[in-house]
Order: sequence, then structure tokens, then C-alpha cells
Amino acid sequence: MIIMNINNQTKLYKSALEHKTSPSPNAWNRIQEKLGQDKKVVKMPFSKYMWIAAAFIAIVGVLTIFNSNNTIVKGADAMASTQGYSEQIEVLDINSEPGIYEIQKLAGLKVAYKKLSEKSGM
Amino acid sequence: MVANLEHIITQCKSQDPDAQKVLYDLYKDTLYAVCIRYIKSAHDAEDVFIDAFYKIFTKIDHFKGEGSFEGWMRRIMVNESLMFLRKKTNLHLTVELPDKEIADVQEEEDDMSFDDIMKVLDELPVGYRTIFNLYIFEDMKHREIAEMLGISINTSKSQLILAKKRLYEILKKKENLTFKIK
Repeated sequence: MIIMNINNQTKLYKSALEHKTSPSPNAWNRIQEKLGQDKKVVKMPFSKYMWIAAAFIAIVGVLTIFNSNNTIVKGADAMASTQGYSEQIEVLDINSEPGIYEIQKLAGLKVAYKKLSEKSGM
Repeated sequence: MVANLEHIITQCKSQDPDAQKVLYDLYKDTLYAVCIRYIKSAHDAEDVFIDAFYKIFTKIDHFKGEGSFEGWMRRIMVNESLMFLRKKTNLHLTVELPDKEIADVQEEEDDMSFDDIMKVLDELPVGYRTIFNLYIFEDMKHREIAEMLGISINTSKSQLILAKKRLYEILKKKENLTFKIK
């Protein structure tokens, strides 16, 4: 037994540093369990959420712009095509010979209407 | 040994399970002894010890190599124990004492061994026990204890004196009992 004065703090402090008591053998398993749970629940830092949100907004933005441009181009194409075919239709002078159509002109008219309906999506 | 410990710490910073086990085996007995000095119940002390060791492994990056690693781990054990005591007992209230009482208390000068103290430490009230532990076994100053516990320096001083007095009384009582039995 180490006898020492209560005021001799250095000795008591040293004894405390050397003092050892064993925890139960299960303690390590419990620590491992806690560490394992921590690995399973992978906490995503806030900055990662920000990156994901930014990427999502960027993708949606690009898609929206692309889609709107496409609609404008499609509309312009359709207008141009309609005008072109209208001119073609106008070439057919149906009023000059009412009720009588040349077979070739009639076929041409059919193709023109078909293309027109396809382009305008009707 | 030092180089080896540095290697273990580096490995633990990479969350290597083998290194964690080695570190645990190296310090488990010393660090559990810290918790058991503050917390009466072995069951609670082990819970605190587990939480503190978990904190050591997860916060090991915070250790920058300044000072002793063992000291850093001990401080985590002490902080976790104090946190537990604050939650379970009203530690702040248990250590409060009017300053005027200090003058009435005479410090005991008798010899007490570490083993004797350990035998009766459990019998001290939580406030006495905590301050006795911090001052004697952790070698902290009254100013540090006061800041840590949110009490005045005089309260810390008076609690230490009262703790020593109570320890001495308990030991004397036990010695008398042993003498009578003989």
C-alpha cells in the first residue's frame, strides 16, 4: 500500500495515472456497434446537398431552354413549310378549269397536303 | 513505443478497425479507471466510457499532436463523465456552498493512501467527489474547475476541503470498526 500525505498531490496524481480498472469484455463490441452504425448511415454534408440541388436546377434550366428553342424552330419551320406548300397549292389553278384536274397535278397536290399535315403536326 | 503510437494514431485517423482495437486495448483500463472515479455505478460508468471512446475514434482528427495523446483522451473521458453527472444529477447545485463556510473548515493533514481513497471515494457526495477528482487526480487548478463547473473559485476550494475532511472521517470510522472487530 502506498502511504502518502493528502497534500502530496503529485504522488496522488501519479497514482491516479497508473490506476487501472478493466471494463466488461462486451464494451469493445458496443463501441464497434456504434462505429458500424455510423458507417451505415452515411451522413451527407450540407455542401453535397447544395451541389445536387445546383446540378438539378442546371439540368432543368438547360432542358427548358432547349425545349423552348426547339418549339420556336419547329413553329418557324412549319410556317415556312406552310407558306411553301401554299405557294405550290396556289400554282394549281383550279378555277381555270373547274371540276377537271390533271392526274399529275392532283397527285402533286395530294403529296403537298400530306407533307403539310406532317410538318404542322395536324 | 512513441513511433508505434504515432503510427496507430495515423491508422485510427483513417478509421482502420485493427488500429482502433490496438488503441482500445492499450488504454481501456487506464481510461475506464477515470470514468469509474467520477461515476458511482459501474454500469453508468461503462456507458460513459463507451460514448467517450466512440468520441475518441470519431474526433481523432482533432488531435493535432500538441501535448500528450493520453492526456487528450483523459480529457474526453473527464468531459463525458461531467456531462453525464450534469444530466443525471444537478451537479451545479450539489457543489454550491456559501463562501463564509470556508473559514470554519479545517483541512485534515493526516496521511491517506491512494488505495484508501479509492475504497471510500464512492461514499462521497457527487459534488465533493467531482471536485476532489478534478483537483487531486486530474491536477487541475481551482480556477479551471470553477470555469468547468460554472461555480466560484471559493466554492471549489471549500468543496475540496470538505471532501478531504469527509474522506478522513469515513476512513477513521472504518479503522475504528476494524479495531473493534479485532
